[in-house]
Amino acid sequence: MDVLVCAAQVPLMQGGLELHVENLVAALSAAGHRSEAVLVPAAWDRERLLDAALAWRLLPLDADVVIPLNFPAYFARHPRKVLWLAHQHRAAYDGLGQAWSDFGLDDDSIDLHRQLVDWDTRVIGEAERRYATSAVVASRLRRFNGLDAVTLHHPPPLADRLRPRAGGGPGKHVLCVTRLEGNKRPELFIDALAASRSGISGVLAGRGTMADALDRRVVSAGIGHRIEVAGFVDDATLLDLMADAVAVLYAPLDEDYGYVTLQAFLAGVPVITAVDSGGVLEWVTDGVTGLVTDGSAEAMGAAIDALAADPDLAQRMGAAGRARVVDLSWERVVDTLVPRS
Amino acid sequence: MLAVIATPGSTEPLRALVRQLAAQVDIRSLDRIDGRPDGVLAASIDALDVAPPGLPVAVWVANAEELGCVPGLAEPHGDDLDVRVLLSSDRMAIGLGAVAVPAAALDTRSLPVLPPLVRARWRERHDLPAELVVTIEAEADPAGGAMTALALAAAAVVSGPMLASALALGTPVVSTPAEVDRLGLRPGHEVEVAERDASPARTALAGAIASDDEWAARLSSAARRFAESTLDVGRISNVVLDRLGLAASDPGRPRPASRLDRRLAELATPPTARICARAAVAAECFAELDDRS
Repeated sequence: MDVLVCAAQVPLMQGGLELHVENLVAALSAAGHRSEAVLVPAAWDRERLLDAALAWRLLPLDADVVIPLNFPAYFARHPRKVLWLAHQHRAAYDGLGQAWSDFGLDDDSIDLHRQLVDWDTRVIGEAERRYATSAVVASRLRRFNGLDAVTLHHPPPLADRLRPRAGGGPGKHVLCVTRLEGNKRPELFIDALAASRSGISGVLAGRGTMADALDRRVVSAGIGHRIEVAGFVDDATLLDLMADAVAVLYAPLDEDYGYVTLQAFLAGVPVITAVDSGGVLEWVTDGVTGLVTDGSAEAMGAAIDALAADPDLAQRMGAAGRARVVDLSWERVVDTLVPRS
Repeated sequence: MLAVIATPGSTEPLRALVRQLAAQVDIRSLDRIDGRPDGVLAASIDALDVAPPGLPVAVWVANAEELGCVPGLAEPHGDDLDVRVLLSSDRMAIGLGAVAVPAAALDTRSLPVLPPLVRARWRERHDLPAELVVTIEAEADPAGGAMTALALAAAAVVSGPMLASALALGTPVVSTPAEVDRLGLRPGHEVEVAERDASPARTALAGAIASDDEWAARLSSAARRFAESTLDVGRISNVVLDRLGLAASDPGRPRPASRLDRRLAELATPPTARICARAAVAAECFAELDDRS
């Protein structure tokens, strides 16, 4: 079949969604379909927010099936639209009230909000079938738009290369891999490491607008000798860092999905997270595949200490995590989205 | 021009439709037209007796029995009458092909939906209770704040004429079995009906909906869909005009001409929406390009 994968593109940005598109197109092609990505630039400021949505309504999409992944790509107009929702425009939904949301209580905000929610409900409701990348995303769709979607998980990037460290043995450090942005809360890692008493070292990998502020926080916490702020790391380095980790600390605010959790589990590493971390909690069961804390520095520090002090416990949790995700496959994703008749 | 043929009082079931048609085409009483009209709207079967021959006709039928009395339907009637549209609120007549004109017909374009998430923002702005429940009784005055209450409520107990407006606004509604039956609503889909038909039970049920985001969102979108597909007088008038072969001349409800307009219309976008203004600016840019070429 001819299958178009539709997504919004933010020019000059490369993030998880772009990778997601590439992986889906590759998986569809591997399954024998002719597949391509259709990417249309979008702007997130309120003034131009709906322009790209309207543009999608006008695009000729000549294919057997279209699979939109995010806002505003799901405005695509096609008789066989199969939605696999990664996210809506979060500033207007779960992000309301957050510092990064530009939807306030002024007339313009509420008017645009009304239009957006109404349009979203209509165009998402058009889809022949609806899937969501995580239970959190599906739950938001039910809660905000009154529409159901089936959760369809997929493997994270590097899934085929992530393995538990050879020979077992204790890990060397606690790892945090994330974009250094407010909603990812990378500062919790620094605070947790400062609060831990075991003296274990930490590695913070990733880049983002908070980099300078985080550097200052490390100095202020007095843990410069225990933490490596690695910045962006390439795939090979990431694999090494995962392999040597006692635990991964990943505690974003209400995450959609969170590749980091799945990558840690595939590497046989348990995950420390917080009760409000959203999609991460679909995978991390407290005491089984990791530790779920209240998000305070003290609780996270204690969680780090518990796993650092008991390598066997960490390995058991990591193994349980791996068992939970090892069967995720792109083949199953493709068979679900585009079933063979 | 559309000619109306009616006897006093017979236009009551068609009042909302006639008002809507009047906004779209030139519509006058037959006895006030000098020339020949383009079509006829008859308010009853009896009125067909004076319909000019050879014109496309829409006629109101009170019940299914009357269908057998419509000239040209039960038997060939030469070219005397060209009955193209049957209008009715009788379920059996509708089942036999009449276009449904519900007693509660309204113009949904004038009542943009307010999804629960947006209602919550309005309540926050005005320091109203997060789980505001309102009760709108049959005698409520739409001009007396009842419409505002319906627009702001997290859920509402509604009976009487404002039920249709509540549905159009996407208000999560609890109503009575009689009201639900009157409009052909499905309990558990577009509205909820309390198990015990008593006011406290209905209020309690509305309170439960107000505290359950998923429930409220599901009811809200289903209510709006029902209003657009079943109660919208604009949709009905477009059907009538299409079948009579009359083009709308109403700038307030234009037939979407361009693809851009059609895409906006299919999403039920209010003409006052900011995106319509942006689309118009974009269309003007293309028009300027055309002019230059």
